[in-house]
Amino acid sequence: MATAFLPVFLFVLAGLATSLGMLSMGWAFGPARKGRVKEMPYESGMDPIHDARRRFDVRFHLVAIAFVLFDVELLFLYPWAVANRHPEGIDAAVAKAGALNVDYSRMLVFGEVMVFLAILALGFVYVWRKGVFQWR
Amino acid sequence: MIPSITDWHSFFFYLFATVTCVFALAVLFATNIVRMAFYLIISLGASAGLFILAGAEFLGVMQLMIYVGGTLVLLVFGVMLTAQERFISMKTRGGEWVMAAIVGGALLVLLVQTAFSIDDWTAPRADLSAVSAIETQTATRLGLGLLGIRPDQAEEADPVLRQGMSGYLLLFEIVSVHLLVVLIGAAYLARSKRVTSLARAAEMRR
Repeated sequence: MATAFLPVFLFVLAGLATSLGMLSMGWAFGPARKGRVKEMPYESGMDPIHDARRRFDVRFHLVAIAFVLFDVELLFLYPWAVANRHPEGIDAAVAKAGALNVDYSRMLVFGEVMVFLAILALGFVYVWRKGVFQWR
Repeated sequence: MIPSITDWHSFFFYLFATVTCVFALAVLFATNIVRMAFYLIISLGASAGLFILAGAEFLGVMQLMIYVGGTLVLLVFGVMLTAQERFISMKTRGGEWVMAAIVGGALLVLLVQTAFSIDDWTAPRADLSAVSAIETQTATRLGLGLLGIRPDQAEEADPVLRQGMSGYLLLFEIVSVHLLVVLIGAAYLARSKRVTSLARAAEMRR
């Protein structure tokens, strides 16, 4: 069975092999010297001011929810993106609708998706103007 | 030499199935909740590979985006926001093992029995060599359905029946409204938090 995703899977395999290979090579051949400074958590050159295992500000949760929200939005755009260029996608549907004398065009499809985006953009603007994204 | 393509399909099926099962077990036996979350990411990611292998690429992408990308971010954030001092360490007690084994075992028996009771699934389909994962086009058909066309119903001869099969455009737009509600709800929660902290600051000043 010719899997069109074979290159993707092979890419995943190669990525895993490369990263695991680099880690294990470093572990196997690298010198293992220890020191107080070397075992310190990496904080971009700054000295860490406290333990990383503590409670985080609840405002981070808004960031997480916003991420999931726009993640779901993108998920619904994905079938549209695939159907857009697929040989049996929107073009074929428009042709079929034309044969059946039904009013259906690429502009209509584009408008449908833009309405979908506009509703969310409206909320985004509202939330932005309410100052929710300000870190205070 | 690269083995034939049939072997690749089986190879990746066994690879993803093994990774899914091994890391699902690792979730069970780990005691650190952050490690559990990480094992769950790998397990769910591998099951997304299984979905794509089965020709359900939209389901696979959904698994990757919603579960691996979204739900686990929320899970890890939940741990980060609530953890006291050390991250929670969980140990399963004896009674919980028994209960979980009964419930999980019952579901497993049911699923295995159902899977083996379907005749089509006991042998490879006859036209196996002619099938390719891309030919299933689930994402294309779904996309057309969401945009108001049902390609599988276009052949319906009766024009009255065909009118009722015009796809899911309204639901597609309603999804957008739902997401809008979630966005405003989340923003409201964050705002009320700030109002209370402002109120507390005003109280302290008094």
